[in-house]
Amino acid sequence: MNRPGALERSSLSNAPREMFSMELMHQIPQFLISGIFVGSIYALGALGFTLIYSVADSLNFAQGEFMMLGAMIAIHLVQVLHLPLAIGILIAIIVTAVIVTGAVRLCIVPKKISRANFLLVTWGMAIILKRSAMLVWGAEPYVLPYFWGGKKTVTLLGATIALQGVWIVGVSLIVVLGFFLVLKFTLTGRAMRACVSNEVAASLVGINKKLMVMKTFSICGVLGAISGVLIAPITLMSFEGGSLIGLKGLCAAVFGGIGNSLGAIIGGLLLGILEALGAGLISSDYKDAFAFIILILIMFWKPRGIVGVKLERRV
Amino acid sequence: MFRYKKLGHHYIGLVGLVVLFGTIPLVSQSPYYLGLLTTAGINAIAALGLHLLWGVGGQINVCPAAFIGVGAYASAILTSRFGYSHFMGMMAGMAFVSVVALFIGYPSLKLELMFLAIVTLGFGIIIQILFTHLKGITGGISGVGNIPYIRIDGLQLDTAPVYLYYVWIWVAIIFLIILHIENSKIGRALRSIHADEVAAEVMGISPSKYKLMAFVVSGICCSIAGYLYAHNMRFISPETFGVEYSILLIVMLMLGGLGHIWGAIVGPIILTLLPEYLRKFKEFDALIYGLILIITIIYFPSGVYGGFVTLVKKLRGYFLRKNWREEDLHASR
Repeated sequence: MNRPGALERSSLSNAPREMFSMELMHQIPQFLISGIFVGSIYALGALGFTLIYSVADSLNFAQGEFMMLGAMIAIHLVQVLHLPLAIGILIAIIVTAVIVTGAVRLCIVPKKISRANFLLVTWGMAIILKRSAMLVWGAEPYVLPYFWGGKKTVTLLGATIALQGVWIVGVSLIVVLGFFLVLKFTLTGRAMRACVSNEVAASLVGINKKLMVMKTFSICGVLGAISGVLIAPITLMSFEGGSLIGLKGLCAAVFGGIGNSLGAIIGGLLLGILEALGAGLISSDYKDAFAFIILILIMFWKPRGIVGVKLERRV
Repeated sequence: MFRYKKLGHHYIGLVGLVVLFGTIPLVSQSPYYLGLLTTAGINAIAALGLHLLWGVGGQINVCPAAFIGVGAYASAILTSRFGYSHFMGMMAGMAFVSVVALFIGYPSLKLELMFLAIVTLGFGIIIQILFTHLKGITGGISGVGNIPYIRIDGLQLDTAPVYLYYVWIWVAIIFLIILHIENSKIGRALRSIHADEVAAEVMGISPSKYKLMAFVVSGICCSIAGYLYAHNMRFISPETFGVEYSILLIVMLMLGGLGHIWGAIVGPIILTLLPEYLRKFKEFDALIYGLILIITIIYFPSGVYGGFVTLVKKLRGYFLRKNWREEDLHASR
C-alpha cells in the first residue's frame, strides 16, 4: 500500500456501490496527494515541451523517451552493475544528456528544417530511442530501488503518503528553481531568452540558433532523465513506459498555456490532480483518456491555457 | 472547369496504373502477393487523404490511423452485429469521421499549426482507449470478428484478385477526386495557406474554412481505407490502429514524396512490399521506419517521386537543349 498508483486502484475496486459517496469523501485527500506526485512529473515534462516550443518554435515528441532513457540507464547501473543509487542516477542523467545532444546533432542540426519536419524528426528520434532501448534491455519492465527512506509511509489527514512522493515533489521543486535560475542569470539562459523574444535580433548579436537548440535539448534531456529516475521506483519502467507520460506532459503544457514556463508547472500539477480525481471518482479504466479529453476541451474553452499566454502569429 | 490539358500526364499515369494492376492477377494468382498489393492500395487511399491535408495544405495530422480505426469499426460493427449492408457501414463510418473531424478540427484549426498535431495525437490515444474499454460496443481487446465479405449484386468479393480489383478501383476514384480538388480553387487556396497563411488571409482566403475542408476530406479518405481494411481482414482489434500504423502512413507519405500526388501512391507500394523482403529484420521494422523518416526528411525532402521528377526534368532539359542547338545551328546557316 505504499505506492500511490496502487492505492487508488485497490480502493476503487473494493468500494461497494451504496457506500460510494461516503467512501469517496475520505479518499479525496488521497487522490489529491497522488495527483500532486504524478503532477510534478507532468510539470517537469511540460517544462521540457515549453522550452523547446519557445526556442525552436516546434514540438518535441521525444520528451517521454528521454525520461525512459534516464530511468533505464539508472536501473541498469544500479541493478546490473551494482553502483550506489546516487552515483548511478548522476551518471544516468549525464549519459542521457550526452545521448540526446548527440542525437540532435545528428538529426536536427545538419539541415534547416521546417516546423512540421522538426516535429517529425523528433518523432523519428523517439521511435529510434524506444526501439533501441527494446533491443538493449528487452521488453520486460524493470524497477529502480526506492530512494533513501522512500519506502516508508506517513498518514496525514487520512491520506497515506509514500515518502518517495515527497522525494518527487522536493526534487522537482529544486529542479524547477534551478531551471529558472539558469534561465535568468547564466549567459546561456539569457541567449535562450533572446532567441525566444526575437530570433533575428538574437542572430544579429551573434547568438547561434542551432547551438541554442542543441543546448535546449540537452537541458530537456536532463529534465527528462531526472523525472524518469524519480518515477521509476513507483511505476515499473519498460522501453515504452515513457511515451504516455511524455505526451501527458505535452497536455499539461497546453493546459497551462504553451510557451509559458509557469503555466507548464501549474498545468502539470492541475492535470495530475484532475487525472487522479477522474480516475478515482469516475472510472479508472479511462484514466489515461482524461488528460487528452481535457486537452480537447481546453481547445474550445481556452486555447491560450489557464494561465493565458499571448498566441501570436509570426508573419 | 477541369483542366484536361494540364492534368493529362496524371490521366496517362492513372491509365498505366489501372493496366498494371489489371494484369497482375493474370500473372500471379498467389493470394499472398495479391493480399500485399491490396494492403498497399488501402494504405494508398489513406495516404491520398493525408496528401491533401499535409502535402497541399501543410497541416499536420499525426494520427491518421485513429480515423482509419473509426471507419473500420463503424463498418465492422454495423455489418457483423446489426446485419446492415456494407454500403451502409461505409456511409456510417464516413459520417462519424466527418463529425469527429469537424468537432476536433473546428477549434484547433483556428489556432496555429502545432495545435492540430497536438489534438490529433490526443484523439489517437482517446480512440485507442475507447476501442479497448467500450467492451459492449467494440468487443474490447479481442476486437470484432466475423465481418462479412462485401457483396455487390450477388457478387461476393471473397477471393484475392477480386478484392484487389475492388480496392484499386477505390484508389483510382479517390485519386481522381483528390487530383481535381488539388487543381481547383480549393487546392490553390490550400497551397497558398501552406506557403503563407497571413498572405492568404490578406488575399481574401479564409484559412480555417479551407483547412477544415481538407481535414474532413482527409478523414473521409481514411474512413474509406478503414472500411476496406475491415472487410479485407474480416477481423479488427484495437492495437492495429495505434501509433505504429500512423507512423507507417506518415513515413509512406514522406518516402513517396510530400506534395506530389503520385508520392501517395508510390510510397505505400514501396513500404508495403519492402518489409516483406526484409523479413529477417522483423524486430527492427519500427526502428527502420524511424531511420527512413529522419533520413528522408534531412537528405531527400522531396522523396522518391520528387527525385524521379527531377531526373525527368533534367533529362528533358538535356534533350531539349540539344534539339534547340541543332535548330539554332540550322537557322544561323
